[in-house]
Amino acid sequence: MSEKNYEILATESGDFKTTFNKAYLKRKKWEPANPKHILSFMPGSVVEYRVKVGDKVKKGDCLMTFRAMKMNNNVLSPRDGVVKKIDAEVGANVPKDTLLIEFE
Amino acid sequence: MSEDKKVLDLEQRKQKIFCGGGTKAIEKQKAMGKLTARERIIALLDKDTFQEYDIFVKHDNIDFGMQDKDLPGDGVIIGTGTICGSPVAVFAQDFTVAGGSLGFMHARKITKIMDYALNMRIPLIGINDSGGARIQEGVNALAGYGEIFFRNTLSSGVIPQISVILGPCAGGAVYSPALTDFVFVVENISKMFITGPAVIKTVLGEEISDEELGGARVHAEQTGNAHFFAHSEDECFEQIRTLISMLPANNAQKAEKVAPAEPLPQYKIEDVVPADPAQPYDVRDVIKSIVDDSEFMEVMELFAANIVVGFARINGETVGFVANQPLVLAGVLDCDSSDKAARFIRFCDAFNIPIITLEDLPGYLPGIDQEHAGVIRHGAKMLYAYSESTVAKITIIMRKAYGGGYIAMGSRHLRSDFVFAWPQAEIAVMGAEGAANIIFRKEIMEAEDPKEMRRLKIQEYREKFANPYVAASKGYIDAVIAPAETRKFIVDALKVAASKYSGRPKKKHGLPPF
Repeated sequence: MSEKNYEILATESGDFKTTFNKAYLKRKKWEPANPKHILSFMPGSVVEYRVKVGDKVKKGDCLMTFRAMKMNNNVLSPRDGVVKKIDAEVGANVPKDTLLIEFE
Repeated sequence: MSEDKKVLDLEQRKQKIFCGGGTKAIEKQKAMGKLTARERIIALLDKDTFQEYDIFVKHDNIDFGMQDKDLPGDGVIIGTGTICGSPVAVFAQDFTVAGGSLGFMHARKITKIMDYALNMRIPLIGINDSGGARIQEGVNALAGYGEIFFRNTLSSGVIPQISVILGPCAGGAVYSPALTDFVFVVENISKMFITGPAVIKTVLGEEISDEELGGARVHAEQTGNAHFFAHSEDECFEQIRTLISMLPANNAQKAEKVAPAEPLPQYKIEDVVPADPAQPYDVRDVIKSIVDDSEFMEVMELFAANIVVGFARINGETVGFVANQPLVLAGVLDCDSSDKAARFIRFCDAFNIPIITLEDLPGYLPGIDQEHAGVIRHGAKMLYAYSESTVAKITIIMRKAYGGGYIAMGSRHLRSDFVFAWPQAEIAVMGAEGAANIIFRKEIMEAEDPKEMRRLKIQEYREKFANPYVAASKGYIDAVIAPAETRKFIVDALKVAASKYSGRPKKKHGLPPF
């Protein structure tokens, strides 16, 4: 392998010439969780929203019924806040970590 | 019927069953680039050694019109034979018969040969090619899988168990291979998944082909479920034969010793490893410069390539290698490479195969993704595996042995029997650059020329600690050896360790961080 093909891997023991494998190149970049976003916790679909845009909700209020793996789940609000936007359509299949509701 | 007629009748009965699912189904199998189940067994075993059992087994299901269905051999072939002269037990699912679906009697044939293998203490090879559970048989099919899993677990660590995926292997069926020691896959033929593309499409609306979801390459490169990847069935069978020839038949034996051979002259150990610790090289060339005939059978070549594991022979004796690979990710340890090494070490230990560790790593891979993926518990598996193993363990520290990596890679402290270091080895808590920056932070900051001061301090640290002699002065390494002496030291150590005794506290079983 010629010299120019090497990548540099930085470690606490210094920098090393090497190559990167697929798993390393595909690693997920970390992002801090946004407390204003409600994401799907599993793949599934929204059966019914219990809130609408502009509603004031309290921590513990039910935001929606979410169906995943043949079970209906009540999704409770993790915070007080005002619903700014409803992102996912009722009945649409969504993957895990899809944005469902945004708070103001 | 006369005697002759009876023999003729037997022959006719057998011939009918040998036709499997019939000409049409066999044509379909061939069109997919696959051999039939019987052809596969013949190709795998030594010539004319296959003895088939349970040819005339029939299913007894009477539901959903099954009473009218004749399924030759109930879709699976079982028997015994030899590979390179050593007996093995084998089963092969026949996709031409009801899609190789697993019903009660089909499972009973498999468990029968598994029981044979365990009782005879011979390796088991299972060729999987099945659409899954035979739905018409309901819970009886599920019971069959459970009985197989239980036997896989019972045999684990007693006889080598090999799974060959030569077709679909989906749902519960995948867990038998996952419980075995080595999984072989073939490009474009092997498919393994728990929930297939159809389910994923229904539930998630996501479209993915079965090859992209669970093809051979996915499992060999990405998931770590497969240990050997081949481009054709023939290449796959050749790999299995080579592997079997290097393993003992069971955990009470040692692998058969063959005539010793020297490494090939083109592999010169002193030419492989560059002096600069930041320069990469292919550690497999080091292995080839040490082992008989320079032949190395790498396990999980495509997965977590930052560590290299596999089998070779030294002085005619089978050994297992665990080696950092500076060519990939500088040879660091991470979640995947720790899992890979831990599992390999435990296999070697279970089957009395000495473990040779070649060490050259800067430490663990830094990263948020690694920490969140549980590099602590994954890394711990490797510490556990090294500490737990009682086979002969020989460690060669070639260049870098820093920090946690030094401890993890078969150090004296985890009870390696022999630890040798090359003169260029740097055994230290971290690399000279990192260490100088911390220890001499103030001096460097306050210096008139911080850059020059940093350079001097790095040099000072390197001269003091970046060598094997501090560790040697404590007896943590047994000898400092020239690279060219490596093979001789290993050969001698293996001789000394041949009668190794290792007592351990009695317990039901340990609790590695699974």
